[in-house]
Amino acid sequence: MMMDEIRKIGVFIKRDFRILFTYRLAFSTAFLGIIFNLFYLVLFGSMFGSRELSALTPYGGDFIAYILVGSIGWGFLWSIMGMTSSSLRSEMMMGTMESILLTSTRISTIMIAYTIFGCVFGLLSIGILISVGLLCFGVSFGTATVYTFIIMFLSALLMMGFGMIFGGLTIWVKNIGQVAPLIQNIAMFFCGVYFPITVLPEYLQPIAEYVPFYYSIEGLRKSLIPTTPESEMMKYIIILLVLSVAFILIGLYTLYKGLNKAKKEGSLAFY
Amino acid sequence: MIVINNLTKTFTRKNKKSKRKERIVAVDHINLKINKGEIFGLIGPNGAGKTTTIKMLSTLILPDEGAVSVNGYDVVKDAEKVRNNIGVLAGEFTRALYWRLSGKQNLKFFANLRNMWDADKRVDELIQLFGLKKQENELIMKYSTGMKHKLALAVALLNDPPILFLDEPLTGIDPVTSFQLKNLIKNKFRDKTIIWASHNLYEIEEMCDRIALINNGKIVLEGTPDNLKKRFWDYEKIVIVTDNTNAFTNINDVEIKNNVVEIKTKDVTNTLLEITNIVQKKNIKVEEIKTLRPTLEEIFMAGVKK
Repeated sequence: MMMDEIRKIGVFIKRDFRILFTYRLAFSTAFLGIIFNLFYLVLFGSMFGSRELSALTPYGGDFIAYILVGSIGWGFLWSIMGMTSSSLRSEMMMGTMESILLTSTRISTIMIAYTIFGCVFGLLSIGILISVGLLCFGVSFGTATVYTFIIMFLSALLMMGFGMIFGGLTIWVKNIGQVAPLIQNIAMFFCGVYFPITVLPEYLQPIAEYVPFYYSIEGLRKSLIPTTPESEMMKYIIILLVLSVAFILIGLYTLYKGLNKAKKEGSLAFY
Repeated sequence: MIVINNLTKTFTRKNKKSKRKERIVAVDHINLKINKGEIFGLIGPNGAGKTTTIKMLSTLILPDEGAVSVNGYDVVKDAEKVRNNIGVLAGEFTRALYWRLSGKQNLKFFANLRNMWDADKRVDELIQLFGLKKQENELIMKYSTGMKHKLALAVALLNDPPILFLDEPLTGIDPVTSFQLKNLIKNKFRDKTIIWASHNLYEIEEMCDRIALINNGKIVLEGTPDNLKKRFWDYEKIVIVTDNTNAFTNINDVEIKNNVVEIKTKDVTNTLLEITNIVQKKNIKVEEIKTLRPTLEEIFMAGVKK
């Protein structure tokens, strides 16, 4: 039973890649966009020359490396989020939602599959960014450690939780519109993606501690700095672990509630 | 076997004028028993409750009241077991498939989701059965509606379920494909219990062993097509084509349209004698005279009006 559900995850991922490859233009332009974004950020950073910025001292001082790591981390998080939250809506719009549910596939299996697909897509983007960054601009991103991977893994789980919440809401209200991008834009402000939170006005800085994604980005940065004490890394890992579990539970609850409501209303195929 | 007891479903929707929420009874205390191997037709006008009933039987909609047992499993408590016993061809069948996957990929995908991990043989079998071999590797967005239809039915048959729910199975397809599918169902799936929902009376009469007319969520009539005709329509019609229609106005239950006289009668012999007398007495030239049994359409219309 459990093995079957795990195998189904692979089936979904295979299907998604097959569909993705039929949209050749969209597929290639998605990665082109990432590369152009990299050029943009590097040129933007080059305005500062080799000048060390005091706000960036805890992160090694290099602005280009700082924004690239932020951009990579943020891109990874929201590639998962985008995949999980929009996927259910697209299944509903295509009309395949009912066909899938007729096969006794668990909704959690579908969501895990979307998360992994988002991760794979995010990792592909990261791979491209790092390669182009290294080859074209000689940007050093620091050395990934085992903590980097743990932070990325836990962040993926956290985003799966958020994706489930948005997925459940999508089944519930059919179209959550700009809620996800709005949260993304607000959260970016407090997560230290393009600037450290220490540059925020003092009264805004504590808000960052309540934004779950902050721990992902900050943890990712710190994991790339060899001098970061182990205890500090453990702090990020524990916080992310607790947040992931909490948000996955909330996500599962929202999903099952949404699904139950749609089954009561007969609106599974509505969008 | 399918047993439906007091099945009820109510939806709420906003009234556009009053802006208030109102309750709409989609399925109203339905009771049905469908035997193993039977093709059971569910007929009714649009919005009668056919699709809602089928969706409740397929575990896609939760009933408000009542119980349904499909092959011995309760649709709410044993939903997963029910799903393993059924194949469903949804009304909007083309939306049930991935247009950017090939026919074969669609079949394999849904087979895997049904825990069929070694499905190649079954997939090939279905592709052959539905005559899709040539197009098996083409994206189904390039398929004709008829081909998509066949593929959707093949998906429903992947796990060779003992029960099939077909919602408007022949709607929107050409007569050739329709003929092929009807033959396939008659000859290859005769061992399956099938619920066939449609508003097309001809296909229902042709395909189904027993039928139920559903209107406003209620079962209005139920029985075999022949029994329904006998039970519900206990008279026959005599149709006379003549230029002298006025000569027949004194006969009971007569209806005249242009040069056609339609007489409803419970006693065909006596009414025919009466007609013969009139024809002889008044020396009327009759172009045609025939007796007609009621059609299912007439029963349907009467049931809907009732």
